[in-house]
Amino acid sequence: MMRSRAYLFMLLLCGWEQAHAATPTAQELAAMMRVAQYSNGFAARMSVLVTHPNGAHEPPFKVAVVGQASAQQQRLLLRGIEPAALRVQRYVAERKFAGKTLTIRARAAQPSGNFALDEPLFNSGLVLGDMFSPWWDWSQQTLLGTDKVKGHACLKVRSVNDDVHAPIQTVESCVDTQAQLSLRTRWYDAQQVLQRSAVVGATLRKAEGSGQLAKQVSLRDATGQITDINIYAGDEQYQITPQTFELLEMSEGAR
Amino acid sequence: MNLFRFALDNLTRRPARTSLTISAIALGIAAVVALTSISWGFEASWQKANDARGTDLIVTRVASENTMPAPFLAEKVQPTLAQLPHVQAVVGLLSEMLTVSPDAPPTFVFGWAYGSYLWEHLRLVEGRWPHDDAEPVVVIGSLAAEMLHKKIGDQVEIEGTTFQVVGIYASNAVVENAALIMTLSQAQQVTDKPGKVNVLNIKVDSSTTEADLRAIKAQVQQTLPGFAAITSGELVSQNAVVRISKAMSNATILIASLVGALVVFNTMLMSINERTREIGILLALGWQRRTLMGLIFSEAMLLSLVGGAVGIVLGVLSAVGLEHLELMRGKIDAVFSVPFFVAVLALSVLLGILGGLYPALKASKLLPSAALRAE
Repeated sequence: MMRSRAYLFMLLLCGWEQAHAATPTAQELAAMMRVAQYSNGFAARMSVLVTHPNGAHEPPFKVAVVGQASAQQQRLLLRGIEPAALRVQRYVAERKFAGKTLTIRARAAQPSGNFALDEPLFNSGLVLGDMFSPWWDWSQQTLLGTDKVKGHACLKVRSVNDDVHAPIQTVESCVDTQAQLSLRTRWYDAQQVLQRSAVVGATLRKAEGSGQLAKQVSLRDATGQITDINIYAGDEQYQITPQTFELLEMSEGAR
Repeated sequence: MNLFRFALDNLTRRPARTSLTISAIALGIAAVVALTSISWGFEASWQKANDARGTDLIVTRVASENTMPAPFLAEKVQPTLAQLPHVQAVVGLLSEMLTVSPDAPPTFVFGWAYGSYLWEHLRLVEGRWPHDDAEPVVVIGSLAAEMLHKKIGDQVEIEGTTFQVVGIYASNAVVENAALIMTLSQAQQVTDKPGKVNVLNIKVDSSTTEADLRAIKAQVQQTLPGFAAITSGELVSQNAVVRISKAMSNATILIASLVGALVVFNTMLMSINERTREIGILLALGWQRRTLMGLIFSEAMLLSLVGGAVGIVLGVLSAVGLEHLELMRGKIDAVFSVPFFVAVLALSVLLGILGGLYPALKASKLLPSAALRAE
């Protein structure tokens, strides 16, 4: 009897220890989210519906995002698919790390030239800079406790921007650690005014490895405009070719 | 008066209550019939499509449990498969569910290797097939043509690219009839998946035995890590939508059974409480307790049988109605069979037995003296 009680006590103790070990620190969580983004190549095609604060809808359109991410470099291409008139619109951006130095390049074709990474694109809430999730690289990360998003438990993390002049100063994410996915992200300016938010409505299991991918995301900006994104097709092993991000190189040549 | 007639009279004495009980059972059974037939039909339609194509084995990524198997580079796998014994042809297929008209729900768009055996089972109703691999045209299933209001010469915009409709075909599988087909290279181009396929279809020669197929499966597992060779039935049963529809149908069966049994239980219990004196008289007249139980069971089973029969009719009508809904057309092909209806009726009888069990026991345990004193 005593032996079985001792065994039970040991089991409970192990369980308690495991439960504590399962909660990562804010820095560990940020590192996990950085690693979760790593990919030799991915592509996602999404349909986008913009709803104005007065409830009026813009005609839906489709865009594709192609990307590549490693510890040294992140590259993204956002291009229009449908309607056909959108196919000329392409935006490419790169974040490159050399030691502690971060270089950012961004180039657009039609309208051609440089564009700001935090600029909303396609007259919607799509912000290419947000797709890099740069806040996971920021040095100040703080755990704020647990929360629930659409019934799913998640860990709240506050990331504070190292660049005090940047328009976005704080990002609050609620991360499902099992899914390795932020279920809700909120962007605040220096005055702690909410600038935009993103909530994941549905997820999809990754084809390989652990974790999940967002399938439906709803973005809301400071004016109340809502951008609903539905990712209807994707390729987790997209073949990146020299042509994929060539727009970026062309911009260098132009300079 | 026989027991059946007696039971029938008892039920018709309270027509409103009997009708309501039958309605509740019928609704539950209708949900079971509709959902199960749709779930089976969905599975059968995919299987029919694969079987009609003449595919013996399908090679796909191991973790392909999502609606569409994850795409992979065909050239990395195809040569190895082509060298396996008995393999006659290895043909790539790429499919996606895409919006091809703003007024219609997403439609299946298939990319099939040009000139491959996959095309052979289709019957050209009108127009022609693509002339070559690079021709930016589509052929359209007869149901899709009707749903999208497209005819030969019309254009469809798929992912921002315009394709001309050059042919209308018919297939035995509703999935294919409601789809658009283009050549594989065109599909790869339009979906930005150059060189990729969702599945590779293997056709084996006529001398291949079941043992040979098992050997091919084992060889694929050995030589191509991360890939699996499976039969079309296995692929369909792994499909997320099939699994969800099956789970929904099973959950409905469970809930409908519980509700059905509870409804019968409630009705029979109320009926017995109201007829306590009558039961006392029957017992005083010399009725055996066994006969009394038989009467209660007969009433319960009559209720559930009639409810079951009405439910089957309602379920069939619902499934057929859903098939003709604009949003569902081409996606549902409900399957019905006599053994299925018999099983549903048997389920109804079981509900009657379960629901009538306690009331029958309660009635049989009544003492005539106590029952006759009841108000």
